[in-house]
Amino acid sequence: MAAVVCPGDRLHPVATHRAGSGTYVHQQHIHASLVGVSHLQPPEPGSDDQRPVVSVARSGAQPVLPQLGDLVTCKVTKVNPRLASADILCVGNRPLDASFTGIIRLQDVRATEADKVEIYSSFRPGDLVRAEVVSLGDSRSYFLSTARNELGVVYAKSAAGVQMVPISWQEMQCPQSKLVEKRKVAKTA
Amino acid sequence: MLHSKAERAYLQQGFDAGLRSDGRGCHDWRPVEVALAQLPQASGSARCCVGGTEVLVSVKAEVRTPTEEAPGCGGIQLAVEVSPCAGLRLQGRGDEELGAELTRALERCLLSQANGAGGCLDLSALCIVAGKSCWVLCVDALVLSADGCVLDALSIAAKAALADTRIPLVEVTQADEDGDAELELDDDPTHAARLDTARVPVLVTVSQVGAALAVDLNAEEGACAGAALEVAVDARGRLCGATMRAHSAPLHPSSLQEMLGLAQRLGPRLLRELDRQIGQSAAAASVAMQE
Amino acid sequence: MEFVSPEGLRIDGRRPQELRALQCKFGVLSCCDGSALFQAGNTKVFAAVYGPRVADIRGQALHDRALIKCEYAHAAFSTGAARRRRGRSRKSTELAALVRGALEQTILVELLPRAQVEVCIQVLFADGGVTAACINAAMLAVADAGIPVRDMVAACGAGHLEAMPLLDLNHTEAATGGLEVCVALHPALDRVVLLQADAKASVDTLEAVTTLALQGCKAAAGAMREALLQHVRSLAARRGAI
Repeated sequence: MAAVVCPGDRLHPVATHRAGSGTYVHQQHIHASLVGVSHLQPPEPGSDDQRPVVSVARSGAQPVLPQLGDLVTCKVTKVNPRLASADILCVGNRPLDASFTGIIRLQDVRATEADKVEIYSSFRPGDLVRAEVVSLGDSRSYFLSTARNELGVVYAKSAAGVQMVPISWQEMQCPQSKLVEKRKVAKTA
Repeated sequence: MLHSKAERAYLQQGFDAGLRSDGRGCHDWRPVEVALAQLPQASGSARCCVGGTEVLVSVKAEVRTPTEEAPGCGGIQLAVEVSPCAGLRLQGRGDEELGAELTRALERCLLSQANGAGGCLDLSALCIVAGKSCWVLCVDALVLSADGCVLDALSIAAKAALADTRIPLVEVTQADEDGDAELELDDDPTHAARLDTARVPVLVTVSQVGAALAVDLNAEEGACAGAALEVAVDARGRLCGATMRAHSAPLHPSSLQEMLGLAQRLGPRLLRELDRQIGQSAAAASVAMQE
Repeated sequence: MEFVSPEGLRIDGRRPQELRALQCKFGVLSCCDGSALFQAGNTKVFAAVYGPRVADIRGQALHDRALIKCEYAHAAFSTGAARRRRGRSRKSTELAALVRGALEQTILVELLPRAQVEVCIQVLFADGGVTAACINAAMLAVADAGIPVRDMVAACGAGHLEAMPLLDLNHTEAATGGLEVCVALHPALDRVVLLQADAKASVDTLEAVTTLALQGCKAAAGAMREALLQHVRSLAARRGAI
């Protein structure tokens, strides 16, 4: 039967177990940092470290924070020649209560020909963009990147106010006015 | 809370069709729970939960000198505080301003003209010695959690707390020559007098969402509402006051009539439910005291 | 008036080294991430935690650790005294700072960079030992919100009256103006996080009272731990995890 532990409880020594989520290491012992049910996960066969992993799982909602490597959905708010500023609305498929700020720098927009990028031809204010968190950034915003095929603009409205249809990885077309606008489009297939 | 345009459009279309996200109709309240005698140190207290909104009201009776305009009447003093736990995330002094706004709204509902006559509570019953001393009821309300419909919950809790208030019996003994009477308070709770709260009204906030009229909007629905009217209604369906909320959208005069009519129909229904719960609470308390 | 009768009983019938009855309730509010109600005798304190969230004022967010904010309010009906003017008094600012200091030592702030954890404390009734009750309520709310912490933090007060150290003074005993000490402790790591003492006293008296307060902290920590474990066990049983 799994045991319920309190923060500060000493679980196992570091010599025989590895610390997982919900725990921390202090003076050669693994202590719990959350109140919840503790789990023991056996090590994968064939891996170097044969110690089982101790973790504490909490019942209820997990707090949502963007971490390195997370795929986020954000809405572009400001655009200037060096970067595009966006409000992060969802982390993975979990929505946030209040939006964090992220910026997409010129060198992070795409992987190929990164020096010939023009921000205004890639994003416009109001676009919904799928991006990846590449760095916790400076004091004000996370650094995001769309330098992969499946990252980029997923929803944009044309000048006429109608949702545009993507026609290539660089262009989207308005179905009403037939005008073509340039964006860095995400490949969603 | 963040709301997208799609969410707001969804909620408005639901209201137009008479549907709400928790299955209620447009004229239904969330379950209202009232518990009396929450604070043993006060003369009367009540806690009211309407869905996620929770308020706590305490009434303390103090002996003071009456005012010069009304020497034969007691008084009521109201104060509403918004707890930081309520999570309204107002910057700077926003909490205090909201508390002041709620206090004034509740005062307009409960208090009356300066002379005390025609109000919902008989203030002359609070007089001890005319011109010398009277009871003043200090009503303190605390908003613990706000999920829409805060003013309605405050008025319900205030009425319940006033119904729970026990005023100790006072013996007036003629003391010395200059006529200053000595007051002796009887501490026995079974000898205490109760207030007559039959005429105290309750506040019903009627809001307009799209083309539909609705009561008891939670925080999400409140963000999509247009005009809002706060109407004070008593048990017989008579109007005791109506105020348009300070930040509400403008109102068409014909909708005004409809909103007042709706409040007049729904107010007595809410008051009957409240009286039933107060009666249940009082019966349970008297059984407990006899044991 | 005498505070300890010849039989060794205090005004409310306790022994000199006895804590008041403690009660803890969790998940009292639905709009916040974690909430708890802590009651010691008649003192009733309610705490709500919002976080980890994005900082309200973007410029205040720290890039490598979480920002802890603490707000304190006491209700107009919380004291038996005459109504006081509402607003931020110096005492409430100091209390908020004490609770924030205790929590900054407890929460693992490096795990939540750029986030803000806001703790709101509301005192519903004050009958002595308010600082200790605020810290305990804040700790329970933080644990209920699932914010990673180093250890539980438990606080308790003690005083010195009629040449005897007394544990957990109520309002009447504290109002005499004698020595009153408030201590907060990490029980498993065994370190003192907060120590606050008012009034003049000799070193021996201070040591005796502090030792008594530390014992009270350990007892309070045990009670809080039991309440937390029971709450989580019942939640996990309802979900079928145990």
